[in-house]
Amino acid sequence: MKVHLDTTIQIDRIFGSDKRKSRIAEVLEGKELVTSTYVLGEYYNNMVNDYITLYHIFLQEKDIKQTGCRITEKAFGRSQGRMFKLFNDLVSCCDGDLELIEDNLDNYLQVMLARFHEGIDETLMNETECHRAKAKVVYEDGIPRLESLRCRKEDHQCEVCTFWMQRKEDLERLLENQNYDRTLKEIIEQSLQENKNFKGRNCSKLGDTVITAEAIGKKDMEVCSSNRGDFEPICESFGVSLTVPDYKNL
Amino acid sequence: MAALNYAFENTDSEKYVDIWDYKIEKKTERIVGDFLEKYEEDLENVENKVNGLSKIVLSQSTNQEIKRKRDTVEYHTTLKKAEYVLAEMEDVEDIREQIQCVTGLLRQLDTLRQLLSDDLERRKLTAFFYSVLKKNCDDEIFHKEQLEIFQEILQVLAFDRRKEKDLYHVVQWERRMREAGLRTMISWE
Repeated sequence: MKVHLDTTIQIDRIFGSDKRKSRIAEVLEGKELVTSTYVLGEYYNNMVNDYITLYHIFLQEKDIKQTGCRITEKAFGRSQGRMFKLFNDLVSCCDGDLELIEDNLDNYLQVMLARFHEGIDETLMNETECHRAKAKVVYEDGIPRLESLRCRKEDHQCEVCTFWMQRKEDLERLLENQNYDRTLKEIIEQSLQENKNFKGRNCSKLGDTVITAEAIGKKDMEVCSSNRGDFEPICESFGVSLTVPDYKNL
Repeated sequence: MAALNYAFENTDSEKYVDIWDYKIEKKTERIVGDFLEKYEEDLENVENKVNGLSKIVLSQSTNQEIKRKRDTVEYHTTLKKAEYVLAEMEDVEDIREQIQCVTGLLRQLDTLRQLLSDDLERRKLTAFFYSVLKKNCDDEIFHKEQLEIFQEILQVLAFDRRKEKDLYHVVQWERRMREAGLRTMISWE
């Protein structure tokens, strides 16, 4: 059995607590792990981008308190809590030493880039040809920057429209599902009218739907996510099995 | 000029020429003498300056060499101390004892890191080793495989082998440490 790992699982495999990792390991045991360029693109856009932003804020401030303050401001949006905890953990294991923190910020960046691919059995699925997955960390004067991450409706740099056109019937079935998010339904309806609406920000909003759709028709492939609420209706409509690690009582 | 012509016309011309030549010779001697004196004075100044500069350069390079050698000795002494602490940790039976040993090891790593300010790869590996020790020392007593990895890290830190970049690459050490049961990554929970 193959299992397609979504972004939440990939993040937890790398940054989660030992308990979470062991719960994930329980549901993945004996299975062949696969994932896609779309998931890698999400990982770059969320985790790596946030992390490099944190790195830059630290380089600008060179001060633990000030960095902490800026994390709680606007830069990180919904992932503010997560970045705050990451930074807190980093400061704690570096004894608050600024040089040690800076060296380890770079160490962990290298580790987080390498670990995405760890344990993945084959090359990444690539039907969407996600542009964000082509992002690269480049160093200028020793400072890392994430390049080629931009993704807009007007750009012709991926195959997500073709991807959806090949799964039009599945989308129509999903639109009939009462449990599927209403806002997402509207995006799909607009996109079916005008394909370019599948791209850019809408593509990010449809992330869970894209990831599940990548498993449609694949022999012996299920999807693994920690987000049961959002994935369940999609999996139901697409006829894909869902596996969810049990995070209760952690 | 009129006076000169008058003197010339009214004196023995040969005698006058001798006097005139004598005056010119004396004047030339004085001018050349002044010039040579000034030239020698300048030359002496320049020589003094050059000597002063070379003394400074010489003493700077000697100081740097002395400092470099002293740092190398300190680096290897610190590494030996770290190895000694690590060897002590093989006999640890109590988590409190381990925490106390790790403090010593962390202190040595801190010194190493400061001495490695110009060697990015080794400095980063030292920083990573530091954070892993700190993250794990309260959890469980380090077992043999984990201690062996720590020893290997100290061994690769001993020499500057920058050409063999993979030797210091944190990603491979992180993987080995994790596979040996150590917590290596910062957590967001």
